[in-house]
Amino acid sequence: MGNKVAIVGIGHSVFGKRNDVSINELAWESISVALNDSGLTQKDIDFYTVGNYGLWSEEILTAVTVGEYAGLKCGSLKTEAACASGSAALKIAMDSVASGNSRIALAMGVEKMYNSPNSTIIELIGRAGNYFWEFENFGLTFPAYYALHATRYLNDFNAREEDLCEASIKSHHYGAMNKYAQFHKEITLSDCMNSKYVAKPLKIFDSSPITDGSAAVILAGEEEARKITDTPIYIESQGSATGSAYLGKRDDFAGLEASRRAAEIAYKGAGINDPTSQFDLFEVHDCFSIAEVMAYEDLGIARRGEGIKLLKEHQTYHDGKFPSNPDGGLKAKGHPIGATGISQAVEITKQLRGEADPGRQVQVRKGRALQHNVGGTGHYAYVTVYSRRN
Amino acid sequence: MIKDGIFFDRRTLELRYQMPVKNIEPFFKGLEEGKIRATKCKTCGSIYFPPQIHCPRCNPGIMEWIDLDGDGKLETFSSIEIAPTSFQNEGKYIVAIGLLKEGVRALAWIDAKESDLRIGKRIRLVARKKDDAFTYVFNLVE
Repeated sequence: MGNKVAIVGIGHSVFGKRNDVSINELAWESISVALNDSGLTQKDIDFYTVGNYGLWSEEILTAVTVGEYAGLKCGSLKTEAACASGSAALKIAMDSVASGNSRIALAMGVEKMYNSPNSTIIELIGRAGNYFWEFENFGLTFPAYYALHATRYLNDFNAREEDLCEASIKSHHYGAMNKYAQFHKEITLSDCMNSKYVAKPLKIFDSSPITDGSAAVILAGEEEARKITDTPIYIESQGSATGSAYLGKRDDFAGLEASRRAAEIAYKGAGINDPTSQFDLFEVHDCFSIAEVMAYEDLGIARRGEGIKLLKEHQTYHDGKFPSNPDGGLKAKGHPIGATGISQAVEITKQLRGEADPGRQVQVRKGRALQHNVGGTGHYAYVTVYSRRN
Repeated sequence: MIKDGIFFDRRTLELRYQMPVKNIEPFFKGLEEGKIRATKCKTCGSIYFPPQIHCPRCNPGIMEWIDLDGDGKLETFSSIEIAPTSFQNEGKYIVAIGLLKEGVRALAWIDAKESDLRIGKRIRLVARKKDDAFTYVFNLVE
């Protein structure tokens, strides 16, 4: 990679059931804020990317419809990497700046899931694996893919469904403090345990919701970034990996192999030799409670089978040893598929700038944060290292 | 029609794919004969399930069809409580992944009582006819 790239502007919409806005209006909510945050205008943007999965919303050429609405005319691209579409958007925009092809680039993600009924969404998202060999005959759902991992994890490490609920309790605790989050209510262990099964052993409260939302970041090269802002947040490295489509091609169901490979590449790129001591913050992909637990282990902050222990000991709360998802995570903040990766980048930028809400701001000592964004069930994996270089 | 600020689409779209399976017809013929088939690369010995007709390791490699024994062990499973719309008439079903004797894994429904399932139990993958179509399912081996 050529020049280092930094985030110089951020924007985030309110997540939730946003039937008050169209997809283009929703995208503008974050783009406009990101432009103002950086002090730049559309004329400064040389390339932009839009992470969007679509299908449940009517527009197919979302990069174009969003661009038209937002007054962007430069080159663009829509990215699809399932739930990691946002990280893919970040990658393309970052590479465009790093290569010198763009001076400034904008990466955003938007999803408008509620433009279809829930039944259509469940149908469409269940197809996000190997359609022919998994869905056609056997009707997998998105929770079912993770449930297959959860069954194995609970078995191998002698854990209980109650243990998984600890992840959701933490998410809702922080969602309650985040004004951009979909859910603002704390939950108890019994709320979680008494919620209905969606795919055993996973219940409603183990699962991230259906969400509308958008998020945007503006990127510039190192030198340019320092002229634009006093608080550039640098992207030190990014690792990515692709897992098998067919789950039967995996030989480990108690973790996501693609996450481990992506993390290894990202750590190597940023000179991280001990992930347990070099980060202030982890934004991990907790589309389900089990996903958060596996993330701790795949990223190397917990040993295999000990992710649950971190939750029980509150070590991943904002004031613990490994603060994770102090924004409520996908579980409580919401999971607008294509926007999630950019939303994580926005949260990391806020946290490293010290601008998060009181009660969920982590203490920034090392100046470094990690983003873990998974598409599907370890089908796509992106791990990104950020730093404020203090 | 506009109701509560929402414009309800007047256009509908039916998605029903037409998926070529000409090159893997022996798999479906096998199911009719009660066999589960995979492909095997004659050059490197790799076995592919789901079957595919090219070996990416050898490029090109020469593939042959083999019959899988069906014998395996249960690696993981989940009872799907909220099913996709297109599976609403299927009743309750349990999805399982099994590691087969030949070293490949398969994903299919398992025809068993949920309370009888334990990871590591012996299972058998068998062909079966369902709604005029051939498919395959795991059974528990007692």
